[in-house]
Amino acid sequence: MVTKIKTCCLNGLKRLLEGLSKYVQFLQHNRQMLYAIILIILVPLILAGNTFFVVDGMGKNMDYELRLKAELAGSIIATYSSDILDKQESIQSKLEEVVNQSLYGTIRQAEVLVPEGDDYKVFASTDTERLGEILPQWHYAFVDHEDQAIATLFTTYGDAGEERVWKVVTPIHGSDADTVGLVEISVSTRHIDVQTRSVLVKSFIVLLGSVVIVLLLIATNAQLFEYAVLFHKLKEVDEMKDEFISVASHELKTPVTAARGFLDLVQQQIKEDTTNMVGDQVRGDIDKAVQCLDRLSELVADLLDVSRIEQNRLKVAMELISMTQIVDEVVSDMKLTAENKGIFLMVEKPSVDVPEIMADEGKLRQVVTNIIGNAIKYTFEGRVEVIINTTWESVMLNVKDTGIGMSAKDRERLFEKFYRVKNRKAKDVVGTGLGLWITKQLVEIMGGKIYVDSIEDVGSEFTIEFPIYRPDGKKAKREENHE
Amino acid sequence: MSDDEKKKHQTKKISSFGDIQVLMIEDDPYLREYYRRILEREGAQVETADDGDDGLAAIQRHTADIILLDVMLPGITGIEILQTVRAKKIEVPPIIMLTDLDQPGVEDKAREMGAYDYLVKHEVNAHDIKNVIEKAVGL
Repeated sequence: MVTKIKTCCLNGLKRLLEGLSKYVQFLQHNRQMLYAIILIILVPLILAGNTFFVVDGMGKNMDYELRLKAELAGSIIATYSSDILDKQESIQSKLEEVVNQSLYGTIRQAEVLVPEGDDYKVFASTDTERLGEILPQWHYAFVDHEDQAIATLFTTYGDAGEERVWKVVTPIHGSDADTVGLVEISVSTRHIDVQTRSVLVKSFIVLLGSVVIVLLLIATNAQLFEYAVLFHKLKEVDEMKDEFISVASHELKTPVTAARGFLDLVQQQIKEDTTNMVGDQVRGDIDKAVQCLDRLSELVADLLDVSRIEQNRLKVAMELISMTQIVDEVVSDMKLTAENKGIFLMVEKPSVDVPEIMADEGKLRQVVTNIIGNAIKYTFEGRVEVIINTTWESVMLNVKDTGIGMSAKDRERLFEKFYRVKNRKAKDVVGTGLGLWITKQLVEIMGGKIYVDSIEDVGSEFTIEFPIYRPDGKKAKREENHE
Repeated sequence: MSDDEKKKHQTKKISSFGDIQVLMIEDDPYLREYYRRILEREGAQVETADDGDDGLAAIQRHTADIILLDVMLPGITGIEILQTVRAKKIEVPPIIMLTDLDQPGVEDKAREMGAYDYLVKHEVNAHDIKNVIEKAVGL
């Protein structure tokens, strides 16, 4: 039985500690929260502490004042009384006067005592019932000893509850400087205490109020804390994304490249196979596998591009580039493909020099390849014209084809992700549907524009346009170039 | 390269690679096999290493005429290997980085670190490899 209780307690304690340590870890990771919590606890505490100390200090000051007042009254009465200790009525009336004049009834009681043997007798008192009472000597031993006014603090418990009373005893000196009597004045600190208490209560209310307000603030801003935590997490995730894309692309491309590579080797060996051991069907099968891998490879590259562009992780290195040069290179790469399809691919350049434009070389090449490649893909007979044009303000690349064209609806949705022109003529055309979306994004990121025009069954025309920058970095404008 | 090294490479008049000792540091087994095949087809002798440590050890055996170094290896990057080689002042033959063009600036950084040239590994074919290697070895 006892062991059961023991294990229960231990488990409970363990869980409590675990919970606590989780909180501690959580707080460690969220410094902001920790600081906030500390502030929430500290600030009201400081406010409260400060108020308390101020009020307490003031109270003590007033206490002291009271005591001084009593001492003063005592010494006045002592001086007054020293010569007339036989005139009871005069002293009595003086006492009553002093007490009646005290503010707030602070001076409770005033008495003049004269020695009676070893003890003291009440000679005059504002409390007439005490007249003639004998008070033991030891009450006043201090005064005798010190021979000056002594103040003592008493706490009495009466009908009105606890009350603090200063009793100040002042010796009355006779003509030859020995003690001939005592003046005892009692002052109550009641009114100070009442005030102090009321101030303390008020400040306590203010404290509670401020804590409530702070708690309300926290409650309504609890969301903010959540967001702070979330923000922290998002930043971490954001940093992991870059690495993820890197690693993912590496992992995706590797098997595709390897597969493509081995098939390449097989195709080469088939080519060198003079005995024709490998039939046409097998060759065809391998060719199809190769085409699929090429598509997969393109898709992976496109998806990575899309992912990067969407997350603004695309890094462009802008520099001055010759559009003409890029176009020439791309066209020479694609000449063979066009020829195999029986299409005429030509480039037309203007008679004037084409100024360089600001662009990222790799990305521009990707864009031009995509546009010219599309033109060739969607054209089955005729020609693809690549025209370079320049105005005062911009350099334009125009790619016109005599291909299958597209409808107005197609034109509208052309640049959407995965959108591909689908009609009877286009059904054999392969593609990812991402090329134009990527192209448009890249063109716009580099500061250019892209337009399309097309008539179904006649052909399409794609135009990309890039602004020319003057040496000072501003875009060239028509007006400024007039001599 | 020192004058002696240059002479050594010049006397190796290779017609179609034969005799060239290639050290390939690449972690993917399939890609390794594929590169080996296309290199051996051209007559080269191929030694392989599949991670950074083995690679550095192989480099320090000084048996290779040319090194193909992958940009990403388990636990260490190709660039880091270049840095180690440079820091320890290890004598190396021309190093060609195999990059996947995924991180911008890697090629420039590689050149800075002393790589001779780079190949884009996902567009590698026998022709390109041959050209690059021939250029590196000084044919």
